[in-house]
Amino acid sequence: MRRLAGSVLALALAGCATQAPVAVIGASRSSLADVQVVTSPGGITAWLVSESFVPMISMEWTWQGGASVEPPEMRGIGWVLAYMMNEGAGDMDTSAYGARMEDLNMKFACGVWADWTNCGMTTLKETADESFDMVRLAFSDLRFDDEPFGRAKREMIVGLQDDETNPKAVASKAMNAALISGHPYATVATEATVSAIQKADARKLMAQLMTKDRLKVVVVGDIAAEELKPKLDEVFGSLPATSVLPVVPDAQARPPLAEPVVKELPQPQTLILFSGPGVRREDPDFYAAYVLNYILGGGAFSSRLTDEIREKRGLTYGIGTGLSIQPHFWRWTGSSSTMNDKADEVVTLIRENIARLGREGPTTDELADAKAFITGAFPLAFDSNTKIAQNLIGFLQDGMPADYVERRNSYFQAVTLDDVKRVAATYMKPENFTFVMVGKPVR
Amino acid sequence: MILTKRLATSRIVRSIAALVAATVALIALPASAQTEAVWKPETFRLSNGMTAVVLPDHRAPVVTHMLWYRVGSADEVAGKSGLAHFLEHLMFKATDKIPAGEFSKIVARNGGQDNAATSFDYTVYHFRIAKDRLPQMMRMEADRMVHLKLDEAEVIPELNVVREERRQNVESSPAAELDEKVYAELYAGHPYAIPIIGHMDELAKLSRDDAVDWYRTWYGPENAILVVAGDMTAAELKPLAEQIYGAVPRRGDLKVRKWPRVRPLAKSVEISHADPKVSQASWSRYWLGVAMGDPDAEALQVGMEILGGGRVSRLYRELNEQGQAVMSMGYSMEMEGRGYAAISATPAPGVAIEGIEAAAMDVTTRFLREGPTTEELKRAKDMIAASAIFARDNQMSMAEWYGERLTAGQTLEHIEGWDERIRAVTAADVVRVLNKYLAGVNHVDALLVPEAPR
Repeated sequence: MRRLAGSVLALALAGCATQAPVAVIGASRSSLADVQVVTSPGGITAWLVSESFVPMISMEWTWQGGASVEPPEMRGIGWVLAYMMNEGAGDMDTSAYGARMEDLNMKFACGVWADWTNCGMTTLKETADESFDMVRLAFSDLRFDDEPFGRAKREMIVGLQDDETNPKAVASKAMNAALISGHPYATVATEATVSAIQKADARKLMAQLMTKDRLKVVVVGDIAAEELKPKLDEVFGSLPATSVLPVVPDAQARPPLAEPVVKELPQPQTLILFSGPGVRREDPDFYAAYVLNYILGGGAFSSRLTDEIREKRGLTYGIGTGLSIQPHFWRWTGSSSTMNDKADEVVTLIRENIARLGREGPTTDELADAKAFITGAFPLAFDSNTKIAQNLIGFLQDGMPADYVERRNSYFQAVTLDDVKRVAATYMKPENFTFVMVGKPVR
Repeated sequence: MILTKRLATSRIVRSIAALVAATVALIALPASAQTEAVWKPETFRLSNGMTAVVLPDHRAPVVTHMLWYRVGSADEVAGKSGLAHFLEHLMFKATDKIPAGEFSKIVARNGGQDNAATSFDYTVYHFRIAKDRLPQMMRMEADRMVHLKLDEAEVIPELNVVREERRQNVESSPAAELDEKVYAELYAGHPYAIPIIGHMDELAKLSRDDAVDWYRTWYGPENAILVVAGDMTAAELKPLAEQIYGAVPRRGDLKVRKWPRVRPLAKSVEISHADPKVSQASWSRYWLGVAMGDPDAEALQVGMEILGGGRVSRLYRELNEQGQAVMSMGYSMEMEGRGYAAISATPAPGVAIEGIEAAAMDVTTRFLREGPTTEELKRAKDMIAASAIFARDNQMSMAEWYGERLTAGQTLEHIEGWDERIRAVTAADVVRVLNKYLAGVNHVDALLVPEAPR
């Protein structure tokens, strides 16, 4: 149940040598990702992993700042801007730009998320020059033609209508409304706010979000540092040096609700979401909390909640928990689904298991297993160029240094039983969790 | 465009990223001349009849190990729908050596991830793990190939897990419910008409004995194919595989798959599925397509790519860009028995569902008559070839690509010739094949429509 995974969850895989080594076959690469820090003559810095096994190049880049700075009366404008980024530039309209991308076998798209604006480009080595140039054109001479602009708004409005009956979207909206209504994280686009968006507003947002000073870049693939440097200046040279972004306040959660919030949807199953206080990424207890989360509900088939609710009782197909570490709201979250007349029972079981973990803390074996998985599975996140690029972008967003990939496991190894017990005693309090149910729970 | 309509159901929900990776493999293909040397798969056969294929990729000290069984839900007998997938879940329970509930925990303790999936055509189990832990995992996989131990006390909760899986993935999803109805019509008289996950009433009646029966009938080394991708060579794997899997005796009496032929549709059918959770109506049309390995497969794939594969496809340009649709696509799906081709469209707000059907069919009919331009043909073939290169970036995609085809009975040579066959597709091939499967042939129309809540 990875659907609640934040960027950190995706990274946090597991398991070092807590077991006797088995027969070692063959030799392996010494480093998971040999990260070079490359700075262009124009001052653009990128993390580069040169890798020629597949004749392709992936570039991912990100800016801090996203949909949470949107003007409230134009919620959704970030989504529309992201949509427009590959819909025509220079003298190419949407058809010409799209055809050119396909001719070059390149993929290029952007996304504006709550706190980050991300883009990615993947191309073949043989068409890399032309592909970088297509991205340059998008950032220096983006078109906002009527047809794709109208199409973007139309598609977004249809998506918002779908959200009205999508259990996950309904649940997430209800949780935000219960905890942080009024905060930018909890305000959503509507047909009215999307309809109000004008091209000039989108251009303004582009200049605000996509600046040189907040840009972070990762490149992985068949390209050398000296080849990359001029490309960085080409692609990003025309971005504004800086901009002023509205300050997004930290969200202050309302007191937890004793009873679940119920949203009715006609379906045989109830989706259950729960959320309690969590830790910031910068918190010294982050690593201990991460390990504790694996024990509670982070391990796919190895967690207390999976054991108790799925394996022993067959009440659900999946239950999982995660640390949601948005910059302005950090929570311990989880979700599950069960048939409507078992929803209350599952909520009770979740609360009981949280309470027990808080009371007793994890066992020595659980701690060892969690650390073994979290450190041992880490290399699985580095077995493809695409995954390496995505993981490195996550490290950059978390403010980590270029050698974090080498150091990361040591932080998990350092977590002690006292650490996880202390964190468990602090956070594993069922009375601090708010629950949302979507479906037709029998109560 | 890529769909997960292949309908494999997994033991747990895979991440979105994994789904995307898996679907890339559906459209992607192997072996372009440039990188052939590094990707050259190696193969060998064990003394007990098990086939093994190695796809080397030494970038990270990690391997993806997939064991494919040539048995899927289409091998079930009447009244036992869902049994193949149920047994897949039970394979994680216990053996004499592996205590109950410990299988996946041992994998995780070794830093590995495991999961499994069942389709109409196959059942597959996989690990992703650091290379040095592979032998231990292989021993566990070999152990459960013939020594699975099923305790009644574990079987019942697991059956409830599967029923929750059906509630979650089918009964809470109007689109998935409609898919089941479409398959029931498109494949009437063939086991593909029965949902992989099973009908709820039949699932409820499955027993431990049914599961044991299934296991004894289908599981054994002679019905398995091993695919290992990643930091591995045949020279390294062969002695290990011979020692571990080669030691598993043949069952000797395993059943051999026998399916009826997929029959052409007796008439065209329209299915309408109304649900209060549908906010926007959509329309799809399905035609029977090709079996995996059919000589028409590549031309059909290229043709459907041009018709509906991406944003320069005919459907997208003529429907989305003209404001008639917010989504449109066309694709073909190959399966061992017989696949299908489909197009679909979601009308823009204010556009009637009848209007979108007429518009989509107008585009399609014109394309069947005119055929592709030289430019369209080249672009589609280049894109498909490029997707094969991109697929190489991912061990799991590669292992799935090969495993799925090998399990369907294709030879390595045929799988590797795919690239050349795509290159060889001509405009005349596209016109001939699309007309053969789409023009004047009976079809299934599927409408998903909103319904006011009761």
